[in-house]
Amino acid sequence: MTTVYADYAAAAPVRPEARAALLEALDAGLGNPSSIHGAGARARARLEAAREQVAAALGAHPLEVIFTSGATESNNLALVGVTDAANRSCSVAVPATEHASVLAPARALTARGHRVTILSVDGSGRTAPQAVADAAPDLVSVALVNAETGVVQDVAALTAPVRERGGIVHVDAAQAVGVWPVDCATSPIDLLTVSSTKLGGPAGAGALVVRRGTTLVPLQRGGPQEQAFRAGTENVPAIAGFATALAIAVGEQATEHTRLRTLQEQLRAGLAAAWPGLRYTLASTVAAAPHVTHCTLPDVAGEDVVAALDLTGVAIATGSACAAGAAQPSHVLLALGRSHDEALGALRISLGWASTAADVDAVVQALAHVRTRIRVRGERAA
Amino acid sequence: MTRERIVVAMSGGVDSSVAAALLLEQGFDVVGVSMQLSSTPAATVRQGQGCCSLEDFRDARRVADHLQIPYYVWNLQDAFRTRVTDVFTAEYLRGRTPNPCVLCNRDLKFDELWRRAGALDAELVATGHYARVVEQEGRWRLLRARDDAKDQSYFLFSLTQTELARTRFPLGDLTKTEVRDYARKLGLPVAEKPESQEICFVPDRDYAGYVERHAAAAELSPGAVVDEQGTTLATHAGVHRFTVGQRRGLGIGDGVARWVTRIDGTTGTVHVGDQRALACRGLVAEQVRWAAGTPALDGDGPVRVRIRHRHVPVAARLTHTGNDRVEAWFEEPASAVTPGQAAVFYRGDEVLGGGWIAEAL
Repeated sequence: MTTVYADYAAAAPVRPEARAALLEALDAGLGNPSSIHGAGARARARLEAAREQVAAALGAHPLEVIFTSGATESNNLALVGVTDAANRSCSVAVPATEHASVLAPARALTARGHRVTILSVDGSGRTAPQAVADAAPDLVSVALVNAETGVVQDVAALTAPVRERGGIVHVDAAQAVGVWPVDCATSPIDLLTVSSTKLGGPAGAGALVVRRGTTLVPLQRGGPQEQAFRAGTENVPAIAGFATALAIAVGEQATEHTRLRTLQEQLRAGLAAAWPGLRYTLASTVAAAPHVTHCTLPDVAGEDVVAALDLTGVAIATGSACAAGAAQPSHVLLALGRSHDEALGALRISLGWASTAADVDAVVQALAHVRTRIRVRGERAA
Repeated sequence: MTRERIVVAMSGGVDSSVAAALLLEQGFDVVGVSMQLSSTPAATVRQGQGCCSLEDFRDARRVADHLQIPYYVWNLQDAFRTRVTDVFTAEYLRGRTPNPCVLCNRDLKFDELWRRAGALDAELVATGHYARVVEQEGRWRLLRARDDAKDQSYFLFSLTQTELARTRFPLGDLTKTEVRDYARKLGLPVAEKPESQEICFVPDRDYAGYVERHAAAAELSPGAVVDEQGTTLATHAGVHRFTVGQRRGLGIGDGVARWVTRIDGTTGTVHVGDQRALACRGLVAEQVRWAAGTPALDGDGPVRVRIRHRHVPVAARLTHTGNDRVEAWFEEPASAVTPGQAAVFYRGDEVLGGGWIAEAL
């Protein structure tokens, strides 16, 4: 069975260069980067080289790069770290469409005495700058590219009212790096989340860029690793793989953007023909990432389509799943004003560095086949 | 040659795991599915108390891994609420004693299996029920399991001929002991897993408490507990706290043994009497469906009627009273005919059909 992978937004296949960097570090007889001896120094050398690679790719200073276990930890560290450091009740604002790793810690801040505003979004999933201004937050957290729909938020406009009153801006760029320009040097960003597994590095690594002058209380307490922002021995092989993948992804960002946009146009045309009634979540005029295509199918459970496609060797996603593995109604679609049933009929197809036009054709063909087999919701078996 | 695909409902228990393994051995292209029926969102996480028995999903997934078959989880929370748990609550509020497992099998599991199997390019579905389906002279016969102690044909009475043609019960010819032995032989990780007996969404068996948590106070029907002479012996907080044949918890406390004989959901009256008053001459079943394909006719001679799971069927004659309603007249009086339970008609080993008990005769 040929297999086609179109779920990059969940985890991208590991790039060969990242794999090589990880294996090299695993096999290099490294010690603990904090140790004095040569084995430790060699680990430290790889760690600091990775830090410089990440910093250069994102327009940051190396000491501003805090390695974490991934985007979820980075988001938690940003939200909890900033508000804990404030020593007073803060106002925090996040759009309703954020990833669970932002929404959940944000909601938990309420119990710690902070005021949390969940910002509404329009039918495309974008937040109005005025809504941010009205919330007058000390901290705003926003994803540059939404993980489910791929919509691109106008971060500069959204965060202007926060910067004007001296507030802190956190941008979750886990889905953006490699497909959209991300540059800390030219953007007024205080904190930036980056993920390894979304851009072809190994899972279990990521970073939070903490710009100079930003104060955080660490989540994990212990040793003084990562400029004292994150205790615990660094996962050097994963970090080496992550930094390698990130450097390549950022280096190829402009050409990949164009290439993936072409594939996206091919996909959108194919899907619409394959499935009458299919509805794209974003109009083609909306600013959107080139690698994520999100749609809803009328009267069909997205998980049925994903399972059926899987049996033909095609991997795509519904958006969100529970611990057991069943699809849940997407909170993003609900925030966009869609119905509960529509939110269960969502499909997310996401492409990346190894995707080809043949992959897109295979996805479209598999979906057209499933269309002939599937029964709509509520229809009894014959 | 491509193998025929079959979708197997896997609960994470030993029965459905062995069913999947047997079908694989028979040469089918087996796809496992589990159904997520409820969820418990938790702000704090307590070890050992996951959502919707997370442990069972993990077990099913590990068995699928072991057998190297694809496995998916279906989200049926909405359907489970509207077709099973809401009905369960509503039935208790009417003074009836529902059987949610029959409801769930009929209105949820099989419906969803057949409907969704098509999308997975499968015509056939299977479960780990102990029952048999055999084709004879162009007709599909639903039969009791060989292992009478495990027989689950009672839960399957409403399957139609078309549905039976598409359904396999691989455990129908096996005993529970044989199933466990087979699981051990294959090294299935659930070989020693204990049976689950309770209603899955009321693990503490406090049905009255469940109803009270899921109904508005105004929906409860409090009333009187009255004896056969019409004397009020006590008052009660709602008919949902009673079931026909119940002896304890009547709130009378005069030391005389009494049983609930009838519940009137409209007036809230709970009728009690001595044990003889429990005996009934028959029942009225409604929404009757015929698994055998054609109705058992009034002149067809006696059938046996099972009025609850594990009940020993009693001989009876059926009379059609129209509109999917059937009266079953017992040859010997039967005890505690309970409205809300299923009445299933058997001839020999075959399930002819069944319906829901509306009233005792």
